[in-house]
Amino acid sequence: MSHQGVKRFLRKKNAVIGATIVIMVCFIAVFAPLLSPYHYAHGDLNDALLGIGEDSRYLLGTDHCGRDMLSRVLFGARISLLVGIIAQLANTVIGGTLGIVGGFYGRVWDDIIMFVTNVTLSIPVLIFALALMALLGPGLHNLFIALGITNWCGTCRLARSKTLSVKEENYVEAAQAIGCSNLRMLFKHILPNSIMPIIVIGTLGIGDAILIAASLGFLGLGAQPPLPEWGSMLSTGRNYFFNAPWLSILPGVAILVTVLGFNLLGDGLRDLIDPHTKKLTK
Amino acid sequence: MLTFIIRRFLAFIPTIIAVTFIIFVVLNLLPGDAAFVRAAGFKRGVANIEGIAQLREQWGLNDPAYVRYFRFLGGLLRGDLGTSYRTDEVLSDVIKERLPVTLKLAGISILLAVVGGLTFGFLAAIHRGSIIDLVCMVTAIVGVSVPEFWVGLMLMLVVAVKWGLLPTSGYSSGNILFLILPSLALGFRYIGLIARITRSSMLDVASQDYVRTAKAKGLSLFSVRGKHIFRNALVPILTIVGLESGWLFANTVVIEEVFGLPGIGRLLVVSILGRDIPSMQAAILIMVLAFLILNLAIDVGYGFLDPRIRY
Repeated sequence: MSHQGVKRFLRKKNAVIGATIVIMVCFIAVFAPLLSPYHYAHGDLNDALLGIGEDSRYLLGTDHCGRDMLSRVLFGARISLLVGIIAQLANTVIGGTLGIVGGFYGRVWDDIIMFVTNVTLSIPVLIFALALMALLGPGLHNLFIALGITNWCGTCRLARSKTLSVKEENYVEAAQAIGCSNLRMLFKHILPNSIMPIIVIGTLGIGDAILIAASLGFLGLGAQPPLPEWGSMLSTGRNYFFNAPWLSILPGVAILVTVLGFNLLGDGLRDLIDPHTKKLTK
Repeated sequence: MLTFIIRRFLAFIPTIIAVTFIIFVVLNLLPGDAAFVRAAGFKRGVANIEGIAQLREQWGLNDPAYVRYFRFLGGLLRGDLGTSYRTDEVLSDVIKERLPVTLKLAGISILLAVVGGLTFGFLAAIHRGSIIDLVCMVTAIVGVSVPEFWVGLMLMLVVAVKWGLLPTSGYSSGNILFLILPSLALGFRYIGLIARITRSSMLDVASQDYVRTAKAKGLSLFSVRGKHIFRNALVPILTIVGLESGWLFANTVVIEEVFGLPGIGRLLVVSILGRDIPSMQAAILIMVLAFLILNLAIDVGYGFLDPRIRY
C-alpha cells in the first residue's frame, strides 16, 4: 500500500474503527493468559452462577461451573480468530488457485472449475459445513477443515474474472510474444496483478467464517467444552437462560464486536482497491 | 421468456445430480454403523448380531456403494426419499409435514426483510445524511455481524420474557404469533443488507438520464421516485435476496433450534445427532432445491422489472 493509499484508508472512519477493533481482538487473543484473571477451565463450584458485579473477584460473573466469564470470553477470542483466519487462508488458497487456473487456461479447465464452483455454491456453506462436521466429528481441528474447504466459491469467481481481465493486458501479450512459459506468466504477471482483490475478499470472509463457526458451536458440532468457544458457551448459557441471562449475552457481544471489526475493515479495504463500489456506497 | 425458463431449468439437472452425489458421498462416509446404533437401541444397549444383520439387509447396506447411490437417485425420481433409520417414518411424509414450517419461517423473514429494508433504505436515500440515514447504515453493518441465533435469544429475552408480548418458543400451525420472533431474528441480517443496497442503488439510479428526463417533462416528485427510481432500484435488491437466500435457508437450522420449531432444519440437526443418513440426505436436498428454485424465480423476475433485460 502506497503512502497515498494509507492516507485514503485513514480518512475512512469505518475502516479505522474496524482496524482498531481487529487489532484489539488480536491483542486480547495473543495475551489472553496475561489479561485473564483465571485459566478458562478453572472453576470453583462454590462460586457458580454469580451475576455481573455480584462478586468483586469475578467482574463479569461466573458460569454454571463457577468459571470466570471474563476469562472465558477473553480466551474465546483465540479460538474464533484462529478458526476465522485459518479457514479463510484455506479458502483463499483453494479459491484463488482454482480461479486463476480456470481463467488462465480457459477451455475445458474453466468449464470444469466453473461447474464445480456452481455446484458447491448451491449447497449453503453452513449446511455443507454441518454435513462435514457430522462426517469428521466435532472438534476444533475438524472445524478448520469443514470451514476451510466450503467457502471458496466467491474467491474463485473473483480470481477468475480478475485473471480474465489481466490476461488481456498488453504486458501479458508482450510476455507471450517473447516466449515466456505459462508458469512464468502465471507467477510473474497474473498472480501479482490479481492478488489484492483476492486478499480483500478473504478478509471480508473472516467475519462470516467466525459466524458459521459460532453457529456450529451453538448446535454442538463445533469446538467442544471445556474450550471456551463463544458459540458453544451460548449454547450452554441457554440452559440457564432465565436465571442467568449474562451467560448468553456476553459471548454474543464478543462475537458481534469481533465480526463487526472484520467487516468494517474488509469494507474499508474493498473501497480502497475498488473505486466503483466506493462510488456506489457513498 | 418461456425458452429461457426451460433452458435454465434444464441447466439445473446436472447441478442437482452433482449435489446428490456430493451429499451421498459425504454422508455415506459417516463413521459408525447405523444398524448397530438402531439395534442397540431396541435391546436396551445390547445389540444382537442377527438384529444388526437383519437391519443391514433391510436397508440395503450390504450392496456396494454405487448400487446404493443409483437406488437413491432412482427413488428421488419417483419422489421417494426413503425411510428414516431412526423412526422408520416415510421421509416424503415427514418432509411434507415439516416443509411448511420452514417455508413459512423463511417466507415471513424475506417479506419482513424486503418491506423493512425497502422502507428504511428509501427513507435513508431521501433524507441523506440525517439520523435515519445513520441508523440505517449502522443497522446494515451490525446486521451482517451478529449471529442470528443470538438475535433470536435476545428477542426472546426482551419481548417474550420481559414484556411477555409473544410466546417464547414452540409452534402451532394455525398461530402466526409463534413465527414472529423467529422471522425477525432470521430476517434481521437482510433488513440491513436490503436497506443498504436500496439506499445506494436509489442514489445511483437518481443520477441516470431517464430520471432527469422524467423530471424535465414535469412529472411529480412522487411519480419520479415511485415509478422510475424505485422500480429500477429493485433489480440489485432482487439480486441480493437471491444471493443471500442460501445463508437464510441454512440459518433456519439454528433459528428452529432456538425457538423449537418443527421444521426441516430441526430435522437435520436431530438426524445428524442420531446418525440418520436418509433423513440428513432428504433435509439437505430440500434446502438446496429451495435455494435453486428461488434463484430461478429471481432470474425470471428480472425480466418483469427491467424491460431492457431480455433473454
